[in-house]
Amino acid sequence: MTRQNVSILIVDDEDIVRNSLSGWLEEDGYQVDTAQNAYEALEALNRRTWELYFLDIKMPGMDGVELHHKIREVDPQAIVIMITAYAAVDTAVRALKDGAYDYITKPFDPEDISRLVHNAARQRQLEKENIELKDQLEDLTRAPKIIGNSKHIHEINDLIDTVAPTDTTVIIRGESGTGKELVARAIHSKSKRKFFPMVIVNCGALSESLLESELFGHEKGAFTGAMQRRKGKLELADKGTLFLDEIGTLTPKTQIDLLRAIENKEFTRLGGNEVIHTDFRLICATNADLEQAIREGTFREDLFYRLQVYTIQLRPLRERPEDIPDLVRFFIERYKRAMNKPVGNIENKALSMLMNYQWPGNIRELENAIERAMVVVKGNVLRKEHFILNNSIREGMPSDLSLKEIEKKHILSVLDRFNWNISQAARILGIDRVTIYKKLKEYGISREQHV
Amino acid sequence: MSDLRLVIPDSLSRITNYSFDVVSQVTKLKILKQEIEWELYLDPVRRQYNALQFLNNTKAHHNSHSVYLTDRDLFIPIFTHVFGLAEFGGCSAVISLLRLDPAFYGLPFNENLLQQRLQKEVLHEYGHLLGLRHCIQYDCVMASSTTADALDIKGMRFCEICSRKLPV
Ligand SMILES: [Zn+2]
Ligand SMILES: [Zn+2]
Repeated sequence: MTRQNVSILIVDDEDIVRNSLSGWLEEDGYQVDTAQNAYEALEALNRRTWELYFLDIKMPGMDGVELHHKIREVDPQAIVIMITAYAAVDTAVRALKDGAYDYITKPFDPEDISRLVHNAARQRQLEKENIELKDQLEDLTRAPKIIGNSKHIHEINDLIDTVAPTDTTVIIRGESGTGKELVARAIHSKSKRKFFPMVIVNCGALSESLLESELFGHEKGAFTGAMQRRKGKLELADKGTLFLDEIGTLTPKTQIDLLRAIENKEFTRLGGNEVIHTDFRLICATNADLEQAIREGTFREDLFYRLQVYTIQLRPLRERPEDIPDLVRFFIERYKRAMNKPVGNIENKALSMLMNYQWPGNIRELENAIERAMVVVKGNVLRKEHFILNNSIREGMPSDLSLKEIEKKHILSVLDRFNWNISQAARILGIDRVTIYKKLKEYGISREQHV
Repeated sequence: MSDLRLVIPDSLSRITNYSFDVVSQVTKLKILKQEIEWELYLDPVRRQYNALQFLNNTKAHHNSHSVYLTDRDLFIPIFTHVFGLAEFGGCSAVISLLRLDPAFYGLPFNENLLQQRLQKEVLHEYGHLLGLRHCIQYDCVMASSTTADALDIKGMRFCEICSRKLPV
């Protein structure tokens, strides 16, 4: 960590301490900001956090001890150094018990400060690296969590748990952005193949010849530009999982080549004769209407039945708005860490706007919307004005909802309108309160999720 | 580059015999004698002299940098002591010889070592006057040194990076 990366906030009401200490630390190459009192510091903390804090214990208004507590609420990893006069050393020692890193007594020995800041910055860096390493390790081995608490998500999790330990071929269907790849990852990491690779091929992104070479590999000189022998994804997925996304875009030739490779569990590289055996578990995904494609003759029926062994159908986000609060919290947490911003919450008005939006791009669109809001937000609460939604497709019921789904959406929107006052909502809906409770239970919705 | 005036009081007149060869390679060095009324900057409680107040009160000399030497113990309010202090990018700096002297730490007087330390300090504060910040190269004269030992470890010249930042 270079010193330029270490940011320091000094909070002290004495000009001389602020100016001298910041000047001295800046000369050493640290990035230093100052605040005259606790309120100014808290105001600044709405916008960003620092690696290191110097807090004067004795300040008019809110003192350093109280400010320390407040900083810890926003930034639990903060390294705080208390500044004290000899007379207040007791208080400083107590602050250490509350998690302060150290304290310094005025006037400071330059040598002490220099060592203290150096060590504190190193500790902060080590902690950061530790967290990152842990995250990476967990990402590698732990199954990704499918976020949400709706009946639908519970069903999806059950389907994943049932099929994961087997070698059964799985097809995941759903609109784009519904998290098909995430489901594939969950199946892979809950399977006995989890220590071998999950190899991903996006079939829609490549031309026929490139895709064939990508899937089956090629020998040197197989075609112009094939300078070296290259292993294909089928070979690379040996002992692991092969995930083919956008399977509906395969051309007739690739369909038949793939079908042969699946049926025989062997294939040859382009331009080669050597028969390659490979053992992979196949997971496919598509947002296309394959049944329609079969009727039109663009998708092979025999391949379809090979893939259609075990289907996981993901429902679009607009049909399960009750999952939105959990997803929103999940993404806030993700970007809060990535952007180092102290945003912890979302106002109710904004959340109910998100729950009423149609999300044509599904979870991916929701994630993008949160990411954008996290970029523009100044305080620590996301508000309605931080979101830009595509209003032209907003509001109104999509026509392909079942009567039950329309009922559920309507009940939820009325409840939202009346701030979850059940009696009032019941009166508007013309049903009694017990019926509302029963319906909510049936949908798997609790009030906390919504407020 | 502008001249460097090294201002010394009578009590330190022996310094006129010291070698400032490295400083002279960097800039034209003039040694002047002048008494400073240090009692103005005495903090009676700390029994030290306020280097910050001194610099604030010292007028700039046109087109030249001045480094004032003293044998008084210098401090700035937040620190127990300082070896020296410079106005960053400014005209004046001050250096105390007291803590550079091995005798201050109960060691035998060593004029040679004191000379070397003083020359490093002069070059370092001059660097600050020219707008250089502390350097992370441990052997560069602009490395921060908060103890006399650290002063001995670093070299007596600007490293390549610092040299490039100096005005031509
Ligand atoms: Zn310095
Ligand atoms: Zn340097």
